[in-house]
Amino acid sequence: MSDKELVEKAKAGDQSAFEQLVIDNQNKVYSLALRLVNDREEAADLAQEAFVRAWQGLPAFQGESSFATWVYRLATNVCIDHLRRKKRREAVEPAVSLDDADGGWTEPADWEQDPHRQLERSERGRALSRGLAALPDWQRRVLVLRELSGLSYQEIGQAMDLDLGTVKSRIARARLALRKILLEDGNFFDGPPSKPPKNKTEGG
Amino acid sequence: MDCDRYLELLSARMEGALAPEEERALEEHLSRCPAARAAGAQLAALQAGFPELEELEAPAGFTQKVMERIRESEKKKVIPLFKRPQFRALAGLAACLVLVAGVYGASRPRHMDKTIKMDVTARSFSWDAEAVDGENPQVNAALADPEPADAPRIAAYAAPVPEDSGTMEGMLKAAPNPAEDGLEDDRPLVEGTTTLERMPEGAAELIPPETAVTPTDDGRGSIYLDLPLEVLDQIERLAQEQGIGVTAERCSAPGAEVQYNLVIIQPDK
Repeated sequence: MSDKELVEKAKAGDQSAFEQLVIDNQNKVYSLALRLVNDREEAADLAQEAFVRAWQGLPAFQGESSFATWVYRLATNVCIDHLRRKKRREAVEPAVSLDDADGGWTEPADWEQDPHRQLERSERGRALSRGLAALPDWQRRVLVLRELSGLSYQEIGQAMDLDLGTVKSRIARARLALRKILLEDGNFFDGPPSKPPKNKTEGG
Repeated sequence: MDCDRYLELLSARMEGALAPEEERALEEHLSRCPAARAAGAQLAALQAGFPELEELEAPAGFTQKVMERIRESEKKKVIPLFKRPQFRALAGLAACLVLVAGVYGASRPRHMDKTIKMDVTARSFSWDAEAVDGENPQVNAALADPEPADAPRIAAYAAPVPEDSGTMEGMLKAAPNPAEDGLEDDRPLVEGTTTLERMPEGAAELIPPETAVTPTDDGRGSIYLDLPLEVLDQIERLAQEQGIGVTAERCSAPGAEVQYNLVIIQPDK
């Protein structure tokens, strides 16, 4: 049954049709949430919340986009709300700031070591996943919002309370940092891993 | 400008976000810097690689948990129900029955007003369900099934006529609305409140500038008082589209003057 048919059935109240939509999209939505919040439990909870909102919002869903795109967008919003609430809490009790630009490279992404099975994809896709996981939160978030959620600079600025210039420079730095990691990883760019092209500081 | 700065410009160029003079400066640098050219190609490859990005597997039991949460929300919150098209259709039918019942028992011609609009609220709806306890006390999506056979059942819940009065007034007074106390007989004032976690994008523009605003009890949010119903509907639609949680309590009935309010729990700034 196509997504469209499933959506129609779900709209009419068919929970099993909706369940199939959840099964079809759970990994994609969970991956997005995990890459945004970097915590497996929180990510699962937020991804589930996105599907619950999708169910509740089905009557308003006109099908202008695919269900997958729509629920992805919902998940983005749910995660943004979560990150904003978290940021406010942490503003009261300072811990690790959401926008800590000096966060550096030291934070281990806990899901990188996650033993859970990763789905088969291309080697490049796996390398990219490792690279993203190695980015500090403040860089990964803006890049994920740009490249995966497809948010504009302006939308990212609103979501993360950042001005446009900061968004622009963070995304640039995130891309350059990811490039550096992937050059070292050796499995993403063409060319022998032992001889990575010169990195940005040697460009002249 | 050092090469690092040009690398940042490369990123901006991928978004088409370069000013003409930056574009010229970057082109000039690229023409004499092979490393920057290589970096440009790599950044482009990186961006193009995202569709290949590996998906991580959702934890075991993910889907079951979602469905549990949905069933739970359907039990607790009957609110989104009235937004469903099939329910709206049935609500219309229910309203007709209410009207018929009301006209039957009422003496005042006001009840026949053609402009009468009956929004069956979640709250009064579930209360009504209790009123016919024993038959089917939980009102949920299952009851909103668009099967014609179900229609009379829904209507029965939405339009129970209290035994003591059989009139609109009687129903209205029986509704568990906090605003009901001390109301005049003729024009009871009821409130319909929509609560949103935050203001949806594009919603603030819809609110008429003269709207009165008061802070919420905790001082963090805002309450917009007495909004036109169509504005509230539009804002709810925006909220749903943007995945913002909506809680709506609507209560209106013929003869009732309804004030629709919007509560924003957390303003953007």
